[in-house]
Order: sequence, then C-alpha cells, then structure tokens
Amino acid sequence: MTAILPESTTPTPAVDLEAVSKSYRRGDEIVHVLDHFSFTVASGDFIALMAPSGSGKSTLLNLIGGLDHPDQGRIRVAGTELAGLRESALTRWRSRNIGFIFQLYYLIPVLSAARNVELPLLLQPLSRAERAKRVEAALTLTGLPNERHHFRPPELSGGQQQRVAIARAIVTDPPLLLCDEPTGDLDRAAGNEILELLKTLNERLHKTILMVTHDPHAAELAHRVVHLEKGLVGELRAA
Amino acid sequence: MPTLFRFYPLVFAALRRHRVRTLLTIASVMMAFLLFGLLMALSHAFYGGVKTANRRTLITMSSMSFIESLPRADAAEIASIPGVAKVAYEVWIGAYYQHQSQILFALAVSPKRWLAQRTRQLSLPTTERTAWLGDRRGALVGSSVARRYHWKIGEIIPIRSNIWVHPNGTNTWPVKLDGIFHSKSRTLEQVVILHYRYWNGGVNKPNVIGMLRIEVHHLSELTAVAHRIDTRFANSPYPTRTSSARTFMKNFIDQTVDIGLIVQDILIAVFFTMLLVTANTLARSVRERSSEIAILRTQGYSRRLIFALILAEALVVVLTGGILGTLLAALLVEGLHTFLAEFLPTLRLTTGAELKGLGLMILFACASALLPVYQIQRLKTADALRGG
Ligand SMILES: Nc1ncnc2c1ncn2[C@@H]1O[C@H](COP(=O)(O)OP(=O)(O)O)[C@@H](O)[C@H]1O
Ligand SMILES: [Mg+2]
Repeated sequence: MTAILPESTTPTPAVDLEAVSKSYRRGDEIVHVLDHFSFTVASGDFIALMAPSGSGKSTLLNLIGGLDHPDQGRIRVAGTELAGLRESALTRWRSRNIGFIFQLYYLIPVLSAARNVELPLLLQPLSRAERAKRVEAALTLTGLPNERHHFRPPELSGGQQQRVAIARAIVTDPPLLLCDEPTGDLDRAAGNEILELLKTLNERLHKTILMVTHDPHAAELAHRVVHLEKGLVGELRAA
Repeated sequence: MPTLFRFYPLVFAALRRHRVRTLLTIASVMMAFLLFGLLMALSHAFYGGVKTANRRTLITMSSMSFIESLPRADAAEIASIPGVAKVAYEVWIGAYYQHQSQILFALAVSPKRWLAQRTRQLSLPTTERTAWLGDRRGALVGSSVARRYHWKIGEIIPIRSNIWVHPNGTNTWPVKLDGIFHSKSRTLEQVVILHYRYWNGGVNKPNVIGMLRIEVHHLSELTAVAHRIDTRFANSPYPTRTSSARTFMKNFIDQTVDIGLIVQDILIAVFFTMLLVTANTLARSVRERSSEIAILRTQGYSRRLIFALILAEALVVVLTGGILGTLLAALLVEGLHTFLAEFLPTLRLTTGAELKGLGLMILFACASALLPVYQIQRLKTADALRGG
C-alpha cells in the first residue's frame, strides 16, 4: 500500500503509466512499440482502447498485468509500483489483482467449465466446498446456463466459452480486468452479449475494465473510448 | 502454499489430452521395467548365492580345472594348517533320478561337518537328523526335491551317476531317504546329500574329493590362510586353488557367462530408449500446451508450481508403467521359477531389486522432466498468448 500524500485528494488511479517505453528487436531492426507513453485509468472506469493491428495494444495490457517488463518508465497499478516486485511477488500480486480475458478464451479443453473456473482458486487457501461455491457464483453471474457448468469447452458455443473465461477472470474478485479483443472471435450477437456482461461487471461489481477492441458497439458501452492512429506514442492522459 | 494434491485435475487433464499417446508411453515404460525385473531376477539367479555365502569360508579346489579332483588326504593336512578352524569336503556326484533329464544336485559329504556348517540355514527334525547321521546309506534331501518326485521318508531311492561307476561298471547308488529339510536358500532346497563313506565305498576310484570348504578362525586371516593352503600343495601332484566362497561363486559364474555385463548393457540400452520416449512425449505435450501454461501464469501460477505439475505428470506416467511392469515381471518370474527351479534355483525378484526399480522410476521421471522445465523457463507468457 502506498501512503496517502496530504495533497492527494483524488483516489489512487487503477492504472498509472508514466513515460513507458518498450521496444522489440526483430532481426537487425528495433521496433519501438511504446515510446514515452503515459496513460491513466481511474478506478471504476471502463475504457475501450481502439487502435490498428500491431500498434502495441496487447503489449500495453501485458505490461499492466506484469507479464512483461518495460524498458523505461513506471507502471503503477492500484498504487503498486510493478518494478518494485520480484518475479514471485509479482506472480502473487497478479493472482489477486488482475483478471485477464483474451480473444481466444484459452480454456483447457479436457476440463469442465467449472474446473476451468476453479483453477485460479486452487492457489488460495480455500476448502473444496468454498471453491465450488465461488465457482458457481461466478458462472451464474456470467449467465452461463446452470446445466452447462459441467460441460467441456468444445461442447459450448464461442459466446459461452467467453463467459467461462470471464468467470475464471473474476472468480478471485480482482479489481482490474484486462480484456484483449474479447469479442474478436464472436459474431455480432454474441459479441454484444459479452460487452453487456462486461458493462454489468463494471457497474454492479465496480470492476475497472481496460478493453482493447475493434468492436464499434464497444464505443456505446464504455465510459471512454481511446482512439490511437499510429501507435502508442506520447501523452494520452487527456484523451 | 496449498498442497500439490489439489492440482490433480490439471495433471490428469494433461494426460487425457492425448490418451493414446499417454497409454503408449506408459506401455513403453512398462516394457522397460518388465525387462528390468526379469533381468534382475536372472542376475539374482546367477549371483544371488554370492552374497549369502559365508564370509569366513574358503573353497579349495584343484588348480587344474573345476572337474579335476583332489586326494581326500588333503583334508587332514589342511586341518593342521594354522588359522584353519574346520574342514569339510564334498564330491559332486553328477546324479540323476530314473531319467538323464531328471538331474539331481547330489553331493557326497562328510556328514557331521556338512551339517555343522549349515545349522542356521536348515530346519530338520532332530529325529531325522540323528537317523541320517547313523545311517551310512541314508540320504538327506531338500523339501523342494522331495516334493517334485513325491519322495517319502523311508523310501529307497536309486540314485544314478553320470560321472562315477562301481568297479563292476554299474552306476546306481541306492539310498534310503532319512530326512527332509527346509531352507530359505532355494539352492539348498534342491540338494540331495549322501554320506561320503557310502559313496566312496562303492566307487571305482576311491578317496577323491571335489572340493573342500574351510572355515577360518578369524575373518582377517582369510587371504593369509588361503595362501598358506595353496603354498602347501604347490609342488604336489595335485596343486590347489583356494579362494573365498564369495569370490569362488562369482568367478564360477563369470567363467560360464558374464551375466552382469549382459544385463548391464541391455538395461542401459532399454532405459536410454525409454528416457527418450518419455522425455520426448512430455516435451511435445508441453510445447502443444504453451498457451495453457501461459494462461496459468496470468492467473498467478508460479513457474515453480508449473514445474511441479509437469514433474507430477512424469511421475504418474513412469510410476504407472513402472509398477505395472514390475508386477508383471514378478508374476512371470514366479511362473518361470516353477519350471526352471532345477536349473535356476534362486531365480527370484528380490525386494531389493524392486526398490532399486522404484528408485530408477523416480530418477527417470525427474530426468524426463528436465527438457520441459527448460522449455517453460524460456516460455514468455506474453508471446504464448499472442495468438489473435
Ligand atoms: N516478442 C516480440 N518480439 C518481436 N516483436 C514483437 C514481440 N511482441 C510484439 N511484437 C511486435 O510489436 C508490435 C506490437 O504488437 P502487439 O502489442 O501485439 O500489437 P497489437 O496488439 O496492437 O496488435 C507488433 O509489430 C509486433 O509484431
Ligand atoms: Mg493484440
């Protein structure tokens, strides 16, 4: 926990990036994906980030989730400075603070929906009964029909699989959800349902959501849409 | 840190992904340990006696060859050599019962000394013991032989020799069965014991012995006494070679066939192949699951925990295959033993061999998990999830 400074009147932002740079080496050339990029997400916000392919959206989410490290700059999530955490502490921090949702769901195909959702809970000192209760609650919240809770992913539709993935992301009750094109693999109807679900999570459970998307419907639901044309360069605080 | 056991669905999920592949891997491990069990039993059949041989015992034989005999008078002479406690002698009769195919492990011995050297290994009723000691034409047999030929106490058994004959050319020594003993030693369970005096009285070339068993007073003097014996007879017409009972048995086996080396070569080849198969299967399965492993990392699974899960996966495969293979080997060895008891009396899968197998299983599981551990160490979570 960071100390509350006397002059700070606004609550700690959910995400705060300060002059973050990240580049990759591709053969001989160096690709600057993020260049002194600054960005803030307030707690409880629902942001849709729209940008062309290859502009560094996934890189940004990975940095915020601590899956990757910046070359320069500071990343603070809910007041925690990520650079200050060692690998093991970062892993533990991630299990309590971040829920990831991906375009391709990444469910384990031979495990039932409930078993998939249970996986993050296995890391916590909970009894089997307590885990089952939380899994049921998360799956019910996402609107997956009860009788499908024990289906395996290949027996579910794309929209239902994404619901399971969302249940898995929220089952540990993390304050921040990072969504990387969550509707990218779904048809319009299913995609809209997923967006509505995310909105519900934002409004009812006060989850802060940072969502990368190409979906035009996202604009109508999010509090704020951030458009990026040419890569994530420079100041974005006032977008 | 929660107990590893609660993660079992993940371990079994990994194994269920490609059931056929998992079963084939288990089968290959099973074959390797089946072979391991059989070879260990075979090795025990050849070398098992070596370890049980009395450490204070020396064996003296003709230095010319195994089949050459020595004069019986040597026994008395050896008894007078300093350091020697007891001397027993015996001769191999090369016997059979009824048919040449029904081989008997028959020895003519000095009865009191033979029994004295084996009191702890034999269980024999006192009445039978006394009866046999007092009956020159009596025989003592292991219960295993008695059972095989349905011999009863008091029965007269015509023992015939492939090597020795009476002065009239016949080769039958009828004996009366005086006692049946039990022994933990499967070798002893197979023997037929005659009085040396009875055999010697009927043979055309009397007063020869096959070998001497000498007990020394002090274990520390074993080699010195052996040397004294061989020096004493070095210039006689019947030079001797004396070695410890253990060395003797081992040399005897190694001269026949170097089982140890064959077993070792086969096992190295088999285990190397098995290791390649399991390590490759595991590495392939980890590669195919890289996004699943990455998603666990996003949920807060540490690398170390994921290593532990992969190791558990390897252990399940290797232990399942290994234990099945060992059980199968144990069954087969038991079955074979009933047929081969005459030739390989100590064919047995020992607890020691089974434990060695278990140790190997754990070692191989760890070894086959090494490559996947390296893969996971290199796996970049962010890259593995850049599918879209
Ligand atoms: N591990 C990597 N090595 C090299 N280049 C990478 C790596 N990860 C991403 N990139 C490059 O960085 C750029 C941004 O990638 P990404 O963050 O996935 O963009 P987006 O999600 O906006 O499509 C792309 O040009 C991509 O090829
Ligand atoms: Mg992307």
